[in-house]
Amino acid sequence: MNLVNHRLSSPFLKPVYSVPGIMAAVLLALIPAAICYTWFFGIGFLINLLITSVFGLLFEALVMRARGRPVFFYLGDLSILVTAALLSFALPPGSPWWIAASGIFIACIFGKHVFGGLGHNVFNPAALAYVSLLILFPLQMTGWYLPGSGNYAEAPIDPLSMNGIFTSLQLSFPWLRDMALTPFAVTPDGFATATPLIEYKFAAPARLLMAESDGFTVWQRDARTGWEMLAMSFALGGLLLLWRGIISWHIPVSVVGMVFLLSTVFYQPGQEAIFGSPWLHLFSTSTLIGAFFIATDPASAPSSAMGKVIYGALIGAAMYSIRIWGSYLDSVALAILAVNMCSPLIEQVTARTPLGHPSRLQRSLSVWRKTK
Amino acid sequence: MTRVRRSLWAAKYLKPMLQRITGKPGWSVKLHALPGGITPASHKFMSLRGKIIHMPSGKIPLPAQLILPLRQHSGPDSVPVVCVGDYVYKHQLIAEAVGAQGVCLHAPSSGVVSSITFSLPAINPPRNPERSWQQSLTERQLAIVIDTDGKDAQLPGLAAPIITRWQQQSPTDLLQAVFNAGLCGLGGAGFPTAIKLGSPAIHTLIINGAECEPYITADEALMQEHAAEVIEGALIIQRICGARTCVIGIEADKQEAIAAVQQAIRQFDSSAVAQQSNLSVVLVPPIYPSGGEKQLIRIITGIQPPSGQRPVDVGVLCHSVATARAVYKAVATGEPLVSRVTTVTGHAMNAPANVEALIGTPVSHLLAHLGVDDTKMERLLVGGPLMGYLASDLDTPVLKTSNCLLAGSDQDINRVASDKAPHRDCIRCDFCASVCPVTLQPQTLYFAARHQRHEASIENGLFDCIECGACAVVCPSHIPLVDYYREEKSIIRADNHSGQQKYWQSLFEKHQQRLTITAVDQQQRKLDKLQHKLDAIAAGESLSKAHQPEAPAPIAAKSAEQIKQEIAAAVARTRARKVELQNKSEDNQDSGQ
Ligand code: SF4
Ligand code: SF4
Repeated sequence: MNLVNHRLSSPFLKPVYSVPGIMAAVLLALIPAAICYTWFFGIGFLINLLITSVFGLLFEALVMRARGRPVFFYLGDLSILVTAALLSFALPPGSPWWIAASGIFIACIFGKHVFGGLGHNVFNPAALAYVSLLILFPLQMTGWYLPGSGNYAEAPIDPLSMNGIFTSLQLSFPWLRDMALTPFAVTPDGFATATPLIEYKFAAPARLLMAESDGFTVWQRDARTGWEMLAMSFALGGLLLLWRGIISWHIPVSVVGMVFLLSTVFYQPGQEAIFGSPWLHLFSTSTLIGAFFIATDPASAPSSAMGKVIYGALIGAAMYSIRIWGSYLDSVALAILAVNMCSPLIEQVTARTPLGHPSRLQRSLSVWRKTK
Repeated sequence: MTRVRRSLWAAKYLKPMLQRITGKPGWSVKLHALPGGITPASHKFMSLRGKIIHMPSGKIPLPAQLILPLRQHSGPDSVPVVCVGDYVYKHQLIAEAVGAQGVCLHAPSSGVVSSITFSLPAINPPRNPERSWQQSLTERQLAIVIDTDGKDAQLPGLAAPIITRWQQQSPTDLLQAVFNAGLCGLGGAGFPTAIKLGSPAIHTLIINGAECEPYITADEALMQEHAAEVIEGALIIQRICGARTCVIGIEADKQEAIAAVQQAIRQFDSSAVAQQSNLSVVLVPPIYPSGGEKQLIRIITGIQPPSGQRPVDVGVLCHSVATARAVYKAVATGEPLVSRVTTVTGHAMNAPANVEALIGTPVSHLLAHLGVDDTKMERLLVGGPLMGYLASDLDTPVLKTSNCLLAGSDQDINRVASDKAPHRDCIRCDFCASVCPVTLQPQTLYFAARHQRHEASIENGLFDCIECGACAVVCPSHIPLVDYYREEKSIIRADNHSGQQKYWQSLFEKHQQRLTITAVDQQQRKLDKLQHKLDAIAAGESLSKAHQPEAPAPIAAKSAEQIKQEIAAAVARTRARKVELQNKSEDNQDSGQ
């Protein structure tokens, strides 16, 4: 019996969850979406993922070193990889590599460590990095330079053909072309439209709206189907997390519910160009990744059930409002950041009372009686 | 990975099961939900394979020594009434109860009192509010050691009289019998039973058979084998406290125990007492910690005592089935509390079992006779893995409150190092809040406790926390949450004031102390100076020269004798002042401690 190397007081039961386990579960839940993204939009996503992960681990290690903490213990929590993956989903595939690198720098330093590291962050790091990039590099962030721009390119290139792959590589690492390292000298037609996180304004790409009536064709790789499939795969991943008990139902349900409610109330047939149909709001935009993966970030969300519902509903309302009445391109990340700021207040107001204590109502009633 | 289900067992699932078991169609009980709770792997089957092993028997003989600590209950130490060298008979009173919260202690077997010593580290110490929990883990306390002679001799007439017809006795007499038998709560806290039983205005009696902690099966085995005694004990308790209804709460997954208790109740049904007693069995959801006192009461009656009050204050009395059986023994057979059913289990045991162990049996004796694999044993826990204590020594005795001895192998016990090990930061995942049975917000409490913001801790319900450990089990950052709460509780309890007051007071006291120390120093310096002068006079020097070399001071006119006298007076005055100051500073220190 070794008396030293053990816990000294109860509970002595083995713990059930672990932070790396939770983060790994989130990463696993993102796999369907990753496959989907690559299938429809080429390997630009995978390149971004690689860049953000490598730089993310590097920055995290440096910061931990600077903060004088055990580096590998903290790298082992895998949280930076989750941030990297979420950020990669938000970046346009085919943006130059330094966009991804500076994005993860912002997420790691300004999103997380200035507040004290994992668990202390006020904003979701991925959303913060994304919005910062949007402000810093608006041109690169809104361009959709892709081989498979689907319906709109004159001669669409299959994103997973050799041609498509080399195009993606060249887009991410522009110096490859100068060094003539790729066999093709592809000049992509720069068709600027939205990435999944930046929703288009409904009035602009009218052709896209028409595509809605074309029905749902899975294997036809156009951007519209791509987005819908991507949204579906985020929902699938989110359901996996719900099933494993990693996230609770409150936030996703209230976000999706609020968006659905508002879009149903304001929608009139024939007015797609102004308000968009509920289907469009839920599945052709990044609502679902926001609802399942970004808004549920535990550190920046309130902790009581009631608080979560309020928080989710606020995010849903903010998303819809920014999308319809706002003049900014993105809605999901902005809405989440905005409501992140309210989170401490929501948390305070909705903190639950321990059993046996007078409830909030009873307390205020007694104060009121005393003052009378 | 063991998955902890964080969901509730809705009452609607239990109702059909309940009706099937009871066979009474009209019998439906509305259960109230327990917020939170976890369902860890139970491991109960291990120790339920055989019958309860009695002691002394062929399997487990009498130990050579019995070690009986004087405090096995929450309350002041009992006072020995035997001396070293005395021969004591089985069931003889060896230590008397002191004060209102006292409990008597009896000899479990005959033999010679070989020593009354301080040498034993306590295990499963009843919580002592004056000491921090770490101290109480290693605290040594006084114990009576009996060298047994193997005769197990009982002097006739020593034992309390057997009360054959307890139905006709007055509650006061029965209460006295319970007190004389040295009963305290056998569930874990060790609260003196007689005090609890004497509480006025009890309307509901709950017998706690919901043994929810993993591994422990002592109560379950007891219900399976001695259901009739448990029921009769419950009826006696009901007579003493005068409760209108009596409910036996058993976890729904203990099928055999439920059947046995049902059977016993049916036998009692014929008698008039059982008719009046309103006795019923209620199945409670098998969630940890549904067996906690307040939790069980909430599940069964829906009553939630306001924070800071005990259940008896709102008219509900809760006793474990083990206590009920001990009450039965004390009243119906006159036998004091000298043995209890203890589960000896864990993956390091070759043959886990329930043992009716004599109080004071060294743990090593039990382990040796049941076959322990020393190479596998990592830790010995007294109590379950969630609320138990660590045994620091294998020779520590079985106490009245020890319901389980868990010889844990690697499989049972968390190898995470002690509270000094680095744990990750809280990620505010909220898992802890979803399992807390008291609806606290453990993460909020953790931040308050960690930074010792005492007021915030109290406001967030620190003292409502039952230290069930559910939050620490699900915490993905592996924060030893309960350790933080215990630490904070002991810090706050250490002073009767709130934390802030204590802080300012400590500053003030330190200031005062510094002042007195300087004053004492000053007086000392004066004394030194005077002494110096005396020395100078003795040496025949003229004082006036040393101090006032020019002006012929009036002091020079004084004779050496006069000066000496004056100095002596000054010395006396200064001494007195110094002594007075010193006393004062000692007083301050006393009150400061
Ligand atoms: S379970 Fe642990 S990490 Fe999660 S909120 Fe509670 S204390 Fe924090
Ligand atoms: S130990 Fe305290 S805070 Fe944690 S779950 Fe149990 S009662 Fe709640």
